[in-house]
Amino acid sequence: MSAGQMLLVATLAVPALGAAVVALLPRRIEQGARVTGTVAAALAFLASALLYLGRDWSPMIALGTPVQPWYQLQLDWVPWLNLQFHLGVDGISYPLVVLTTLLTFLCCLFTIYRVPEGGRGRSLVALLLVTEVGIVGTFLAFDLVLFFIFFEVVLLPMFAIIAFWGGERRRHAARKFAFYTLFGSVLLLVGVFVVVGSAGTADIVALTAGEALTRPIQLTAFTLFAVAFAVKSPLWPLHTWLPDAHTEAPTVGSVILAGVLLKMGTYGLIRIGVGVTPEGIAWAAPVLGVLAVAAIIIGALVCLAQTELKRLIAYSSVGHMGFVLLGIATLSVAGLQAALIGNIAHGIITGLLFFLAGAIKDRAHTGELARLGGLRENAPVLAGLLGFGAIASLGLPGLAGFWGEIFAVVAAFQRGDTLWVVLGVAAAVGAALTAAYFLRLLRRVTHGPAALQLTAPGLTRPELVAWSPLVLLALALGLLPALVLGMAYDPVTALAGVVP
Amino acid sequence: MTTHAPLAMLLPAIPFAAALVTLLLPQRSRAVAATLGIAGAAGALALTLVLLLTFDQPYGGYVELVRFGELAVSFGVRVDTAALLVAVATGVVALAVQVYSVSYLHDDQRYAPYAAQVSLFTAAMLLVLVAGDLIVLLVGWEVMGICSYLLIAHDRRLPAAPGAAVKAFLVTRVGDVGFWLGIILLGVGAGSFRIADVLAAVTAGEISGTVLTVAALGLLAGVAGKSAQFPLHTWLPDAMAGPTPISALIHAATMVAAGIYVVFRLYPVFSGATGVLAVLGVMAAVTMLLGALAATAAEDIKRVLAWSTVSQLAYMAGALAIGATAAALFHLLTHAAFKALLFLGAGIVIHAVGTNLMSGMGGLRRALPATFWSMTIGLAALVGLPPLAGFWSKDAILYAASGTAGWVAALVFAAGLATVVVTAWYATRLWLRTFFGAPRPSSQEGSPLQAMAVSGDPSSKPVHGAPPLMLWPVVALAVPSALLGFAAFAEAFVPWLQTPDPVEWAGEYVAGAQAPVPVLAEQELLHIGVFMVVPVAAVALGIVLAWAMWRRDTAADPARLLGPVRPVFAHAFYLDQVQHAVVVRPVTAFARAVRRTDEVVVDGAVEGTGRGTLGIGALLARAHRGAVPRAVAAVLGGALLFGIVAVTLGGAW
Amino acid sequence: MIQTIDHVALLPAYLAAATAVLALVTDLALARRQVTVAVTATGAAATAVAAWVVGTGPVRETFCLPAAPDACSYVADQTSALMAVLFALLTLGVLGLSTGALRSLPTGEYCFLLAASMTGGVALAYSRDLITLIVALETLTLPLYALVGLKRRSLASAQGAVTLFVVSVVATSVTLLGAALLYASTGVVHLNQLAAALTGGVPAELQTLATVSVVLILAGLAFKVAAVPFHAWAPAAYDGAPVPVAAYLSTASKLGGVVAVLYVVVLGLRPWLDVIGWVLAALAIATMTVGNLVALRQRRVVRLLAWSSVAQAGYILAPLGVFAVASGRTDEALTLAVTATIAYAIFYVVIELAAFGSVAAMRGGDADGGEIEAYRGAARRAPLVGAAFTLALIGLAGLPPGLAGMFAKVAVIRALLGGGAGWLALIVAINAVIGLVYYLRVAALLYSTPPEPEPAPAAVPVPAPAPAPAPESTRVTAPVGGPAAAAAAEQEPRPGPAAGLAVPAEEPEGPPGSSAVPWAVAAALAGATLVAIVIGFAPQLVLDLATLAVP
Repeated sequence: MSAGQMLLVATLAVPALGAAVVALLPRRIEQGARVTGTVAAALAFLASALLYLGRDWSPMIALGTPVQPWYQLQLDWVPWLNLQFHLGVDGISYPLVVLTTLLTFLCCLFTIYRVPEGGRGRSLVALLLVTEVGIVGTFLAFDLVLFFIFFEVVLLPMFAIIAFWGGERRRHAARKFAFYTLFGSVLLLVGVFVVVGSAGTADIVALTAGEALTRPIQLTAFTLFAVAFAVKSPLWPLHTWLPDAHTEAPTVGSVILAGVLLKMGTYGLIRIGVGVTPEGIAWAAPVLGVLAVAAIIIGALVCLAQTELKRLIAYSSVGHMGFVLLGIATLSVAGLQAALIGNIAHGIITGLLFFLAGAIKDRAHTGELARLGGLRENAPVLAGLLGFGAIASLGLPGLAGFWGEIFAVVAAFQRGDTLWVVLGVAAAVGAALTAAYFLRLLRRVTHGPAALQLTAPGLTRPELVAWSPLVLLALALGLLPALVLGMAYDPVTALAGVVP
Repeated sequence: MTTHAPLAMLLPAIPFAAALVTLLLPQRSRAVAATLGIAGAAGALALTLVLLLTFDQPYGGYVELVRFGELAVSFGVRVDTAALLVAVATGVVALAVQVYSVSYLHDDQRYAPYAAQVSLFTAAMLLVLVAGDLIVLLVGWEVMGICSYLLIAHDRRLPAAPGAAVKAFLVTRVGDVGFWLGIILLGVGAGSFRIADVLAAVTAGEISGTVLTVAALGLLAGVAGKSAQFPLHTWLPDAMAGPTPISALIHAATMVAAGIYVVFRLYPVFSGATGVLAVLGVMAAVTMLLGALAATAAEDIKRVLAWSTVSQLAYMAGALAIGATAAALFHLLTHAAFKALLFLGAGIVIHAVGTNLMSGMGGLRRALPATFWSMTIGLAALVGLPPLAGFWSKDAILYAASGTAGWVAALVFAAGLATVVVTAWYATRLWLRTFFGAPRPSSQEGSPLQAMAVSGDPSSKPVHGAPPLMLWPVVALAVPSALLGFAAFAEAFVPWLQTPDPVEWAGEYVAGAQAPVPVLAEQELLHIGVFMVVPVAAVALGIVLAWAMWRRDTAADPARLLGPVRPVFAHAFYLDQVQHAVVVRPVTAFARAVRRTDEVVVDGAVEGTGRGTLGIGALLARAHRGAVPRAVAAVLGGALLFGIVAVTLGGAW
Repeated sequence: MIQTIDHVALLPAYLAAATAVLALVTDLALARRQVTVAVTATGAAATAVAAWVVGTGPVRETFCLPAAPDACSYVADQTSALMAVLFALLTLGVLGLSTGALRSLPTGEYCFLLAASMTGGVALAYSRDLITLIVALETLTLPLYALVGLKRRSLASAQGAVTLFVVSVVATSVTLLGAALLYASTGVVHLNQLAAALTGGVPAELQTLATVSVVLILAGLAFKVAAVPFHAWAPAAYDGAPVPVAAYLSTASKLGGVVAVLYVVVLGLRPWLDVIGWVLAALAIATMTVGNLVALRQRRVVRLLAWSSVAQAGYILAPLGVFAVASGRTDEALTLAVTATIAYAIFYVVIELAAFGSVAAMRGGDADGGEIEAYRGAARRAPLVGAAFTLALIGLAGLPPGLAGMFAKVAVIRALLGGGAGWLALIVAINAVIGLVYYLRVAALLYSTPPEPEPAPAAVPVPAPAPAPAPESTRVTAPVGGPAAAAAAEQEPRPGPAAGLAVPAEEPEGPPGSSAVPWAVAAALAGATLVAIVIGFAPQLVLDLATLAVP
């Protein structure tokens, strides 16, 4: 096994083992268990970050293959199901993997300091680690069936996180999340075996390279995939699980949910939708585009009329993922790249925003916008960070959120025909609406006279440690988008090449 | 030939670095924050001067940031004299504002973030000035927007501040939708976001007429937002809620100037697109008069100045519309000087009397002599009294308009001349009400003048009525306000203000760029002749009218004589209300409706499916009570059913 | 005419039968619970070993027709071996689970009946003609009536036994009628001869008769797997029976039905897949849908598991529904479908055993499953059993970390799509979502904190509980005040036909998992859970077995 393969395995195995150890430690070792879990998360982050070092530097377009992982690991698992334990990483998945491990690490770190009401922190850490395994596995899987399995792994731990550590309506929200997402993923399963049954292989590398699938099969399979990924992403009108889940989830749960869980859907659309069923996605692209823009506009309008802090941020995800989906729907290199960086940016920024919203709710004991106010008077640093997060989230040029938004519009314009131009214009209007609701949020929360007595106005050290990487990344990605897109350029170009 | 492209890239980076470091400071570390802020502005100014002094011919440089498909985004700069001159103005005003703020905000808790935001603002403006790539330009453009938002909302005591800040950002953001689309259309059309490539594509006719027109109109929407042109001007007067130095910064050399500058920078796009310049001309003419008339009835001293900014910017826009680009830029520079002076001076006045309202001022020329003289120079420059700066630049515009054929030029000329009268009237009104007449009781207890009046103790009287850190910038700015106009006499100055020649510019990077659009003929900034009498007469008319009205009752507002139109002017033609009724309220109502729909219909369908499933489950569960007889019936019935179906359909097999 | 009898082939059946006899004898002779159980367990284990050993050898056939030597009633091939091993092992597992309940049940009778049922199962595994098959199936089922009714002093138990008995008799008669009619129209009973006869074509005037007979046979067999509409006995019988017997009902007994259906369909009726395909598809769809939907509204754990096992029967049958479409009748698709069915059945019985085992371990003694609400927070008190139960429930739902259950569902979907029945795959998939609802409800409840005194109900003045109509309660499950109270207390009342059978109040239940779990119960549960985990990570083992075992 090469070093790269070992790193691939380590990225998955370390958090898995960490979760097992945390779960098996004696009950009285509470804090120690949390620290252990955090160490595991840190090691996983390290392993994933190291993946970059040994990557294949040769320009892959010359190789002529649409997918060229830096390294892969391929083992037979269940031949009867065409299931191979096939892991790999390339420039498309790498940023998402690192984002996942980073956010999980930060969430675990945060949990050492603060356990949300509802249960023991060690269990929460263990569940976070299991969730990480599922998400990272989804990004690393190069086998359709394996992809599906990891896709499913996430479901129950996240359900548990919401259901046991969440807010008042946590049960309902958690159930809705679980059933809605499962509804999507069972369709994914059917889609996977439509493909496997027809092509005789589940290897994504092989499926992306070849023309094994007929057009009708591609259309059928993509329809199924699309629903699955649309639920996860979420794409309007399949989004209504999201506000409930994100609002009720504990802070770390919301961070993971918004930060990386949603990306499984968009990643799936790129890796599988574009790669495996290019004709299908090309056929459905206008519908996807229209729905994506509908998500942008509707998400923004709903936010404009929203009255609760976390719910507003949750709904803002609908709009932001709309931009990502619009980028994907254009099926152009620029659009896919916009989607990738939009994914990462949204993960970083919304992760930060949920951290902040959680901190504010903890201190103010309410999330109602009408009852908050004057945060900058009694908690200036918190207010400043919230301002930064909101500004980054509204897509201010120079911060991470900008690139995905504008280049989704650029990609739509590049398509040229009337529909896409109209979609691009509508998306740009949506971007302005996004600014409107974030400013409304800031005006309600940070400005004006101080409305509430906060329990601890200052920033604690753990908060500072957990948040500052996100702040820095939001800025760094804004100034240097090539951090993400540099490595993605070749693979995305190759991938876009398979679209008819 | 010297190429200082890396240095030019450093230009925005200096204040940006200052901003970043300042942001990390604890909120109360005033001294460090002030030093950093001043150093940032001074550094940028110094570097600009170095670049200007060593300037030989235009140059640029690009560092590719990222590629989206075939479209590259580069951190590109393009330096020419126009950019450097505006940069000098920016640097000077920023430096003045930073110095002034040290004293103006001496007891502000959040000074450090404030200073950082001013630095960031400066950096963003400099970025716009030197940007050689449309996306990079957009970065600076929008960062300025957010800085204006943050700074306008700075004042915690003003309940209106947050709302005004939101308004400022959102109104400009609405215009920016067009700006985005314009940039995207140009970038997609030219296959590159580099301004050089875009201009080359435009001149080569590679971008079709319709696309070019739409793109130019889109850009124009953004420009209207940033430069507060009708109908997107409504944010600017409200932006007065920000601290006074910020008003100076926004009005003089950053934000609002950016719009004019971008039109200047991308002039071939506008001139190449049919009809867009006419739109700009009409917009300018409307805004010019609208702003000036609104200024006549405004009571807040800063609001008068704000409306005057709207109006003066329209001069520049009008000049651009008729092709007098050099005159436009000239006016931009002189306006930067005197408008910064006026705002900073107004700040001293407000600081002294503790109110913004002119009804609370009067007779201040004795209490604030230095301020009085400086502001007199500033106001005289504003109205265009020879030989002050404003006279030459405004005269250049009017002269160009009079000498250009076409209805647009005629419209601009007519509006411009009428505006001169109105400008003279409201400037005189401001001057007289603030500095002459009897001192009026201040509305606010504890202001320095109040204290002086109550105690009668001459020792408590401020030496110049203002802290020195506030006064020096004002006095310093009086120099260019008075003298900058004479630059027009310099032979070398005129070519420095020429719009970039797209062919020359593009030629550096694009092989084979050709077929230039006709570049405007060499423009004149200076002409001395009979024509000069016309604007001077108009100024005199305005001054005399105002003085005559004021003289009847030196304690009363001359605007009272406007009669029934006074409230109309005071409310700026009720455009705020129109905007509220036509845009804000419908959007809010629509948002509420969408939210309800989303919750009731979309989510309702989901929840309904869940409930429906449970309901069916309950029904079926009820059907299974009373096990034995029903179970037997089910078995037999099931067997019978299957049997019957099999038999009846049996023939099919 | 003397037939040569291959006694080696018959060895597993002999051993099974001997186990039953020995259990009875031991109990009579020694009357010691442990010994009787040990003897029975040894017998079951021996049966499993024998079946395995015989299965590894060459195919052995016996009781063949002299006229047609390939038409045999008893065939010991790999299929038979696998099924026989499964029956024996399941019996062993159930026996382990029973040790708690046996403290208050008659051990000898219990062991005898269990072993007798196992004998039926083993015989069923080897049977290859309709008559043997039906007889073996009845041997499997008959002892169950007694086992279900074995709980003395329990109204529910008696009621469940009666329900099972009555419905079973009806169903068996339907099967027999079908078998008779089929014999009348074809003249053969051996499955391979039947296939030949049906291939050759039935005379036109007998076509209808043959069709009806086929349908009737399937209907009767569907009863054994508790497929809708032949399922209504299951909840009453499961809930009435002691928990281990319910486990047996839902595993071994159900497996018996599956084996019977598979043999009849694949070996006998294969030429008529176009006729039976839609019957199986309709059965599968109705079964999973109704099972899942009704399970949504259950308040008692065993009833919920009963309905869930109804739904699971639907998934088991679903791959066979692929015969309803033409592309599903190719040899390849048929192999896929049958493999998936067998594999699903194996996955299912393991997980189901773990689920019932967890219930048995949590409740202890001979207590019934009780109300779901009584399990609130149970996993916090008994973490290991709770984890096992959770894993089993999640497995039944088919989600990770219940990988075994997930692979089972994946195999079904794979087979359906391999046969071109995408619509059926979608129905299975949607049903999996509905299934998650109730499995997750229980699983989440296990980890919930015990209910804090809720302010909302307290705000409403509740009249003091009157003695006769017991108000709805989370704890009391025994019908205190007779049938009327039971009806008030439960969603599915179990009104007894004879009110006189009303029993005195049982001991109030302790909190689940409070008493120590007998080691045998723990071992059985741990074994089932371990197997579930192992086959979860290595599902290919099961799939290989299933592939080998395709009849």
